[in-house]
Amino acid sequence: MKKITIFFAFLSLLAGAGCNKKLDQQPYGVVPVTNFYKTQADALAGVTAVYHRLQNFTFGDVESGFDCWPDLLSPDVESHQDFTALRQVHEYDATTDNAVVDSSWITLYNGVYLANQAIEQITLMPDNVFDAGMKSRLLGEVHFLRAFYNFRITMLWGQAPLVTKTLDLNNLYLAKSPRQDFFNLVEQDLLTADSSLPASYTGADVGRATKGAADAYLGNLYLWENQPAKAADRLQSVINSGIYGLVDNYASLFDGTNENSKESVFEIQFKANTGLNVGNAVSWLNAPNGEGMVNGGGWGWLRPTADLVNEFETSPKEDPRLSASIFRKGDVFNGIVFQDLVNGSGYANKKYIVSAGMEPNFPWYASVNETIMRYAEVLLLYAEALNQQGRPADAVPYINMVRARPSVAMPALSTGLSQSAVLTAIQHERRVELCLESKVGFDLRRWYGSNLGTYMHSKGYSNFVEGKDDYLPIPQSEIDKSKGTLTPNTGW
Amino acid sequence: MSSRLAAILKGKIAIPFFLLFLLFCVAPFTYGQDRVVKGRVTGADNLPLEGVSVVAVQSSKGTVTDREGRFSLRLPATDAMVIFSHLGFSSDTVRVKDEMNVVLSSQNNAASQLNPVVVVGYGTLRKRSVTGSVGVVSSESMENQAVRDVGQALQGQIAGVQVTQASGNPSSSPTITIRGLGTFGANPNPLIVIDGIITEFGLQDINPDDIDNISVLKDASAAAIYGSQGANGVVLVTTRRGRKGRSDIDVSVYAGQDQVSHKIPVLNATQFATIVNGYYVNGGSAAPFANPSSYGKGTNWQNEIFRNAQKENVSLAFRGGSEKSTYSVGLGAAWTDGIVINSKNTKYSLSVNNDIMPLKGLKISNTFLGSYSVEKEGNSQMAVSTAMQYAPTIPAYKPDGSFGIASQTGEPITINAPLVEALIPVNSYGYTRALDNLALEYEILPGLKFRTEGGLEYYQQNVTSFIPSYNYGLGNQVATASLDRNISYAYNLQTNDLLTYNKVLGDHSFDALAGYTFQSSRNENLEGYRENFSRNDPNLQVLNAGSANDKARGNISEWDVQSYIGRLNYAYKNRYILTSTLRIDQSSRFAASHRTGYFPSFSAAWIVSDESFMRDLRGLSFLKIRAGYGKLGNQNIGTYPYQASVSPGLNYVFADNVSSGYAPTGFVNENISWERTRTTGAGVDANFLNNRLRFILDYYDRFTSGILLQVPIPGITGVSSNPAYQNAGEVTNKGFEFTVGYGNMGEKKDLTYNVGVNFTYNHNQVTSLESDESLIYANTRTVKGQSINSFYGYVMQGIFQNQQEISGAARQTGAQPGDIRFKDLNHDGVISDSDRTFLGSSMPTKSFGLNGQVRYKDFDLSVSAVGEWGAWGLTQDNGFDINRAGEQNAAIFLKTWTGEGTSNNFPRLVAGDPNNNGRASSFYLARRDFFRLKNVQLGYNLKTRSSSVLKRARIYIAAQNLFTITKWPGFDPELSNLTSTYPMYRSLYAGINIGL
Repeated sequence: MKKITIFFAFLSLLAGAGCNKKLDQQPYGVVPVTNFYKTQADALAGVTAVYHRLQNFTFGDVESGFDCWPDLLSPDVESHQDFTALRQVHEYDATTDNAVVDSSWITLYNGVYLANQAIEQITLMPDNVFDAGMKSRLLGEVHFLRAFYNFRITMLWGQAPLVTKTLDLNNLYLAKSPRQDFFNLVEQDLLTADSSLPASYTGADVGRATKGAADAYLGNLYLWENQPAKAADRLQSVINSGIYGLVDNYASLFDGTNENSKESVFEIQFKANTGLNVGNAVSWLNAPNGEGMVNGGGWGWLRPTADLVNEFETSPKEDPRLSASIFRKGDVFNGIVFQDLVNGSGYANKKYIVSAGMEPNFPWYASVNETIMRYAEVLLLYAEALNQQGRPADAVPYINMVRARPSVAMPALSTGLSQSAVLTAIQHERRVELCLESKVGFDLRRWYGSNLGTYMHSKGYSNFVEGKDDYLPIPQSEIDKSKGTLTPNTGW
Repeated sequence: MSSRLAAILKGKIAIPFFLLFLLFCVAPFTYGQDRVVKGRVTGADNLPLEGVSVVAVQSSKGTVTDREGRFSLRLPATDAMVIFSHLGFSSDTVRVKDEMNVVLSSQNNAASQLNPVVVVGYGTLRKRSVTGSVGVVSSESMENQAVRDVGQALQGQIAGVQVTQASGNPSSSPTITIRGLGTFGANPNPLIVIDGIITEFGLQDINPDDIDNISVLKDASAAAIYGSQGANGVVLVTTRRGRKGRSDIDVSVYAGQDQVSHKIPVLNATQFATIVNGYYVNGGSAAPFANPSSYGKGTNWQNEIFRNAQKENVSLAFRGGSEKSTYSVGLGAAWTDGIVINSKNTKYSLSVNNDIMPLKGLKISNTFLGSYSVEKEGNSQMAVSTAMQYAPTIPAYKPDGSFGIASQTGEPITINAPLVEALIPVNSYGYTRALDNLALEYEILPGLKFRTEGGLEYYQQNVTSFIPSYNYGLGNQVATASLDRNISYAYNLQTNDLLTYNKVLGDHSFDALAGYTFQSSRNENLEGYRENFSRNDPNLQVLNAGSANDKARGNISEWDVQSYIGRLNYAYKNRYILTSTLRIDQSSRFAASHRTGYFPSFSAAWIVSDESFMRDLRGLSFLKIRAGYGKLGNQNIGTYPYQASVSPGLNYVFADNVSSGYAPTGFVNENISWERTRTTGAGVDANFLNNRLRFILDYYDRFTSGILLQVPIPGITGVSSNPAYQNAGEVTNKGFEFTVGYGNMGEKKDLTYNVGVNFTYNHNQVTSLESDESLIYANTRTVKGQSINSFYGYVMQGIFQNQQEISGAARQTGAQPGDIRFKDLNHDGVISDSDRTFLGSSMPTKSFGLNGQVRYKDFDLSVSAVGEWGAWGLTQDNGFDINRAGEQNAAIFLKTWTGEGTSNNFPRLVAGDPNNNGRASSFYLARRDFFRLKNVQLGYNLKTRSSSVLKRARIYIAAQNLFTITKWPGFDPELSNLTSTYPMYRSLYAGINIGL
């Protein structure tokens, strides 16, 4: 009996031994924050995370590469009739609970957060853990990206909270800042990037932000700020760098066959077949709905309008950029005839649509990159900056360079055009050259300012309310969560 | 006085109490004059029962029977009544005689459940001494239902226990909610304990035939012994064990047929084509169907994917024991075809329970429960939801036998045909589960016992998903086959060391428990994926046969809890009972400084009917008043929410190579600690008419504070999709539970019956959310003053019939005749976000259960029904979505507004929805109230001779879910979704139970 008692006592001791220590568990699969941001490799990984958001800053976490607002906020592109959230924005009858607007707000501010996180942590790291020049280059890249996200935020919402550092649980709320504050920070960030980024990369670093990209976006920003001389300066330095040029084959810019080309000033990089969620979904999201041109059948989310198709010149020949950018009924792609089965506009988006044949092993995602700042755009921005300074004759040759691309070869414009005629020419050229590339909605807002309503009404958008529909609504759920610090946009 | 006495004497019922009263009165004079009573206890089969508890009512003196069923007990002369109770048998209260021969009947009804032994945390108590609110379901009631899953056996049986079958899939297990939803942060499920071991894997695949009884600890005074894991109640499952001196073989077989319990009315092809034409024309496009009437009735896709499904179930058990050991072996097999074509579940289970008593006072017990089940199917759930979307204009099969596929504008050419979803993908979900518990129990001194046990639970989920390559037409093409293999396995290790002591000192009896427990849980996951299989052959559905796009995934998580427990149960004169428990928990899920939680409880009961002043209450047989208070916790919030970490996966591509990105993906809060639930409750148990009429009434106030919540944070933080946990909210659940039963079952009559009704009213309200923060989602909100997840949105106020109505109403952007008119709640003349309001609760407020059994000679009939009221559900689902009216086929679309006066409750259909008819509003809500006849079983007991090998034989026919009364437009009001779900079945079956 005594033995049994001792046995039990021993057994129970055994059961309880060493258990206290087990209560201090470390999570698997993640790194404690105190062990990170120690090495250059950590810093590089932190910067990669900021680039990661470029693959999707519009809609959720899954549909990579989809960017809808700049085109939907114009007469160029409409959405699938069943995609009510997009359709309502395009028709200017959206409400403040629009799910995709909400999602864009969250993803763009996530980009800002990731950038702020990287800036703060890398700045704190000692210089001696970096190779020479690496710390400043990495900070330059992150500042460029923060500028990109912040610029997009003010483009979409005008006034919004300007987040300049990472927030925390005790510090969750910020009021809206005026657009000029955004512009100032974007300028500052781009200047920081400009002074610390290399002109180009080789080898494993291709795809990172360059000095040329910073200059091009500065040029764009200065045009928004109505400072054409400063814009021209920046854009000229891109042109004079000698790094960039136009590629001969216009269509090759959008089908994945000519990536990180000499025309690429800044390009969002994708890769399919990796299992790491870095593929481009736009192929199936925008390909004609259900016609089997791409794997997944095509969902036809965004489709060009007749108004855009009519913008293309037809004489002396049809502008070749039309058939390179847009499917029309009867067009054959990868052996399949486009029929427009789901009553759309009769047209479909062709840019970034790659066929199953081109990505043989991956059913849905594609590797096709999206060049979001092309040299052609730099030329047109430069032309705009010159024209705005009253130099239309100097501007025209740059428009003509774009028109003279061998695969396009549209006739040159006369250098004798008036300033307003040149502006019209630039507007036309941007609309056709950069169609379906998320430009025109913002361009219209820059060109028309407070007269945008007249323009939109002339295009049949009778619901458009001047002073309200220049911007998206601040999401209602964000206003509800903000404890009164966020106010609705004008008119919403 | 004398006339009153005479009146009492007339009432037979009161006689025992009168005698008791007399004895009580003379007790002071006879104190010290002890006598010895002896006796023997047997079952109805005349076999001796060992271990029967024999306790005198008055003095609480007691003993247990030996292996021959004999006992001997020295009692003060004041004792007049002795209670005999034994697990699995009806208790009996018998008047004291020198020689007492007692026959206990097998426990099979509530009438004699006055004093059964009830399993409570880490031990058992006589029901009489239970001070908290505990509900019990016996194996008998499970046998009367022949349920697929143990959880279903609880439905409608116990007041305050809500069981919801969220899916009709043969492998699904229902969810259990006890006394309302207590949290909106952490996991709201009750704790499940199987034979003393806390399981992390619910009741899935546990064979109902292996269960002896289930106790549900509803309030904190009962559940507080489980501390940080018991906040949502505790379900204690006790499996069957062998009995000494017995040798039983039980065989139970049933077979039957299931069919879908409800088909949703749908449009025929002509109606569909007409409606879709209208949708397109309203949106400014051409009508896609030239001649709608040419399509006739077309295809009802539900008829194509549902079937009458067969099921068979076999259970075999061997149980028995000798003086020094008992055994129980249970084998089960179930083959259940799903009601959706190409879905089938196969389940095998094995239980082995052994008890060995090698030395006096020493008992070694082992419990083993093992099961394997596999569900094989296509994409059943997708098949169901696409059946609500696919056009009836499409034939199920083309004349050449191939699948009918959408081929023209107006038909859903982008989605898979229901038959392709059901038949083509190859999915298999395998579950392996094993639980073993080895316990050693030793009686060190009389009344002082030490028990140590070690339990190991293993659970594996093994998923194979193969998508073959195929091309059946538009929307039904897969170019390259892919295979996903996903294996998750979990270990859950526990040790309990328990010291118990019970002692009777005159009028005072003590029951004490002290213990230490440790639980460690580890989950691992491994996933492999590959594409490009050259063929679809079954034997090539292995990863090695693929050739492209490899993906591998895997992760581990671990957590531990260490606890100290104590309980003291004290009874004075066996009628004033006090219980107090304390549990101290330490969990790895919290930072060291917030790791320890203290969870005490206090409760008391008073058996009023034993008091002298109650004796003359005619008709009253038993009356107990209970009250209790306790604190509980909830730590079920994932593993390491307090630790700041940097996550991988934020990848990007440079120079065509993937680069790994790392960043912290959320804020952390190191200060989080347990959710705390405080329950106060009181109850009355009252029996009348010789225990034929029984009432249980409970009131509870369950208050949960410090709710662990991912409080939504502003999007500008950049991490709003992964907000930090905070101890942020408070919720109360207040309610009544009322149970009434009437019956004479257990009496020796030709006709016996038993009817029980239970009713629960629960009021759920959020009483605080930290800094008035709301949980805001698209359709629901959780805010202070409302119930959890209340529906929120606009109020529909009919349909605009014409332009004048629009002009006369508040300004509503985009409105045209036929659009929904929303209510201008703030009367500012504009329909805006400030016109939204709370539209209804997503949880039921009232529920009821009804159980009835009737026996006439050899026939028995049992019936059970359940009902719920007060919940609303969202009807925006496949088949009903007005925003995608081109691919919806519910018949509700016939109510569509097509011109002035045609409809005032269903809007016009228009592509693009300019009025935003699809916004969150009362249009998309419907009541989920229902009444369901859940179970009907009619049995016949064959006459058996006592000499025959056959001890017992019963044949029965039965039906489950025979009918449901509800206005809910979906498949079933209990299911989580309207149509995107695996629907509920109706079942007809017949079976036989044999005892050898």
